[in-house]
Amino acid sequence: MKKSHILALFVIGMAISVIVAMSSGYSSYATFNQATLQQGKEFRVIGNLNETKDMNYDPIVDPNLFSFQMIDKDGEERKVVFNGTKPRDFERSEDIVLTGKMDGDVFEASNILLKCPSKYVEDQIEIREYSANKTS
Amino acid sequence: MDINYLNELLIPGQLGHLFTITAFVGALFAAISYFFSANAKTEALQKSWRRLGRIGFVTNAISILGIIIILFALIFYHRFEYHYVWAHSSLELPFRYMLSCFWEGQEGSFLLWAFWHAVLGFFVVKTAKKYEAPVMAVLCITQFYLGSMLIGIYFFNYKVGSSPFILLRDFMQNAPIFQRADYLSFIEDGNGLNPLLQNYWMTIHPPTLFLGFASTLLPFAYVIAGLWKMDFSKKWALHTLNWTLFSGGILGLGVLMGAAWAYEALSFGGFWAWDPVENASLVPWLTLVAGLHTLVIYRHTDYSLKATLIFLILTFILILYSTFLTRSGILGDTSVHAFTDLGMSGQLLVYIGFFAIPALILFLFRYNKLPGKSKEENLYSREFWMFVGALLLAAIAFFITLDTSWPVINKLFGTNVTITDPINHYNRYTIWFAILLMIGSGMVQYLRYKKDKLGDWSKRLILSVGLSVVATVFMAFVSDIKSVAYVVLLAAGLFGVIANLTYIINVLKGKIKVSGASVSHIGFALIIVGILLSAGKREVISENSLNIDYGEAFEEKDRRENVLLQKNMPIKMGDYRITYLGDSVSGPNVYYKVNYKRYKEDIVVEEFMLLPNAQLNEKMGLVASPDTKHYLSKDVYTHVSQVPKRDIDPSELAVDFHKFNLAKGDSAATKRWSIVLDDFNPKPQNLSYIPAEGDIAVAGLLEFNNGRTIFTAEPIYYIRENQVYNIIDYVQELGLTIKFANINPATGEASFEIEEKETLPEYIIMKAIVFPFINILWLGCITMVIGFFMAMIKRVAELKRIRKKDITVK
Repeated sequence: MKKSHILALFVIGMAISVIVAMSSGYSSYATFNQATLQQGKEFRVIGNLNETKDMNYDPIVDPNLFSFQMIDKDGEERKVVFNGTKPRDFERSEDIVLTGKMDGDVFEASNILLKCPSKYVEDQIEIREYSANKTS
Repeated sequence: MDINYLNELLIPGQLGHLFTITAFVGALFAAISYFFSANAKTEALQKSWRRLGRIGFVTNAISILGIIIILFALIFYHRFEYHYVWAHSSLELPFRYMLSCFWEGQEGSFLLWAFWHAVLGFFVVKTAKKYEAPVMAVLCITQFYLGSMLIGIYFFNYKVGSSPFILLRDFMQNAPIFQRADYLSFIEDGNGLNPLLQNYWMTIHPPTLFLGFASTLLPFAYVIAGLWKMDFSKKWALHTLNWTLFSGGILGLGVLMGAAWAYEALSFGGFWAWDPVENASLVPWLTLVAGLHTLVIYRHTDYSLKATLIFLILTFILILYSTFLTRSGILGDTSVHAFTDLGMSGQLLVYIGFFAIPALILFLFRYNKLPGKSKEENLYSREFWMFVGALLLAAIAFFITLDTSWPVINKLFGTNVTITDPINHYNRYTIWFAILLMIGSGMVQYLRYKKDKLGDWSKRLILSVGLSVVATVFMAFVSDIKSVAYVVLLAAGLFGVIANLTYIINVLKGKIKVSGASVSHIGFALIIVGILLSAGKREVISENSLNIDYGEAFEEKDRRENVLLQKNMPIKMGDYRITYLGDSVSGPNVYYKVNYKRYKEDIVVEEFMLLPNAQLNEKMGLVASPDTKHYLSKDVYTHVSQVPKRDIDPSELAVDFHKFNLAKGDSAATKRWSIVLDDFNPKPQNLSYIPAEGDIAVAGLLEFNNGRTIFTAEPIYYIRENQVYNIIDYVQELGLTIKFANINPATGEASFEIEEKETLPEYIIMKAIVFPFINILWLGCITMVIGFFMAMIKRVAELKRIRKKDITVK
């Protein structure tokens, strides 16, 4: 057997074991409904905050508990519980990307990624103009 | 629309535009001239084309410098009629961060990149001799492409590049404000620089990283030059090796500075998060180091030339790919690095293709003519195992690239894959590669080139192995490491350090000049040991400090890493008793004073103050920066996670009124407090109550408990000369007013009126983490980079020696 063959086998073996090790870390984007069907499995869910419902965060009582209602891209709404502090200016987020799993009817988020209005939005100029008009 | 706008300063912008065009044209002219020079048959022709190439290159370099100076001046003088200035700076931006405006925007980043290429180009012109023409042809064509990113003109309705000198009113043509000629007087301030960039690390990390990115062009250019002229001589190898070492050192430094910045300035509580942006700079470094090893093999044995060419080409392509990943906005859902898409993804893709495809075609075209050996490497030779090491590096690079590219793969093939817990995911497999690399770096140096006998190999290693075992047992015991994978990694890391150290002492006899490689290996092994000890054994001391039963809804695994600190109310955390003492404002930053005290038997043995700060930025919410107490053996790291809003009008605070009738032992509850009437005190004493003859007085002993704080109040009720009096107890900082209103002697029930005013919140929510032995990590970083430059200095000296010999021979 040639050394290059040993090497090739070694590399292939390595690749297989790495891929096996990696596969457990993969997940997919899902909706609340899909996540509900597979309770306890981690997913990423994208949606928006339901601003008509209350958000709960009382740091005096528990600084690590924040809950809110999110509507996913299919229009399904679920309560989301996050064990951490409430991100500042959470209300202003456009899109929310949650990582976590369903537990019954509640989505337990382990990570929240917010997409906030871009710095390049034009309305910043318009707002400024509005205030200028009042003074002139 | 013909409006004569007032107060605009347009000349610098026009001059800047002119410079973008001369930079672009100069680069193209230089590339073409150098191309002809490289292909010229006679020496005279080569020289005349080369002179033209140099003129073009200098034009390009001067133009880039001109663009930078003009842009900097516009930022310095706050000319907000320019979009770039408006978008990335503001009036209050301190001078020291003005340069940082360059790397916040895409145009500025490309500018910086082109600037470094120009600087490196001068070194090539000075040192490359016969390789100047082909190498500079590649460099100048890159400058031509970078220049195209900056010209911002339209070719057949397709916008090429984006100029840093575009006017605000052209950028936002539809905004109604630009109907006014005097619009500038309403634009009072710029958008400002991202607060994350206003940090001293951010003034040194991006330029270093960009120099690292730019420098990968040179090994690539030498590879192309080699393929082009079919020159893979000793001199070619030495030139290429020098630039590869330089690039490896600088790019490595840039990546590690990024880690240091994340640790010092970001608040995710670590130094490496496997964020796509971090990965994108790590991967090219891995392939570059793989190429470095195969190139060293080639120099000693003539093996591995093809692998070297592939790795060094791949490195540059991966740099381009990482630029595409981070700048195209495709990572939106997975990365916190908020780069916006300037609509140039297409152009970036063309850029990758333009370099990748010809390089690949050239490589395949020349493949059969490449020098190589038909005989295989010997199994026990150094070159064989170094090659295996290079393959390992390439394999990690491949897997990290794959995992970073899922957003791209999803878009291309409609798949739906994401990684929910990146840190664990990447750690799980990179750890095994790291173990193999560490062991290899220690063992392979003891093998000899071109030998097929182990000889006394095992004998020479036995000391290192023994020492490593002892050190591992000791460290694992001290640091309380139990996981098998961690113990193996620790052993591998310590072996990497010890085996290389003994190699320097025993084999190289301590000759510093030749020990660059071993020093780098020691640095790399120290980094691994440092990561293992600090990240693996990090301890969140703000965790579980409240002994509150949250009920069954919360499982143990729920991480509760943040703690709320009321002002002036100490809390015990780990070894420390910490107190939040208040805040102070300095510029855009709010600094929170957190006092740490360590006790030994009730005596304060240590006290220090940490000042984590936060910017309460309108656009980005709370941007927190940690503060860290550095010890030799550990760091105590603290950052605020949340602070209450500061701008509350006291009259808007809610007030709750409660009335409770309580007998002794009864309890009641308000929104925040549970209250127990412990007892009555028939002989009350209080500063505001002076007992008099004939008084009937009683105090209620009330205990207030909110789960964290317990205090007692003692309001007094008394009758003096048939008149009822109440002495109210206040707890100012908690907003409580407690009045003993009445008592029913028949039932023994007392009635209390409690006014609960919402307090002006004065607290911080913070997180504190102890990182043990993190200094080993930083020591490793510095050592590794030093090793690269030691090796480079040696090769540069070698190159000079060869030159001298050439001259004397002539």
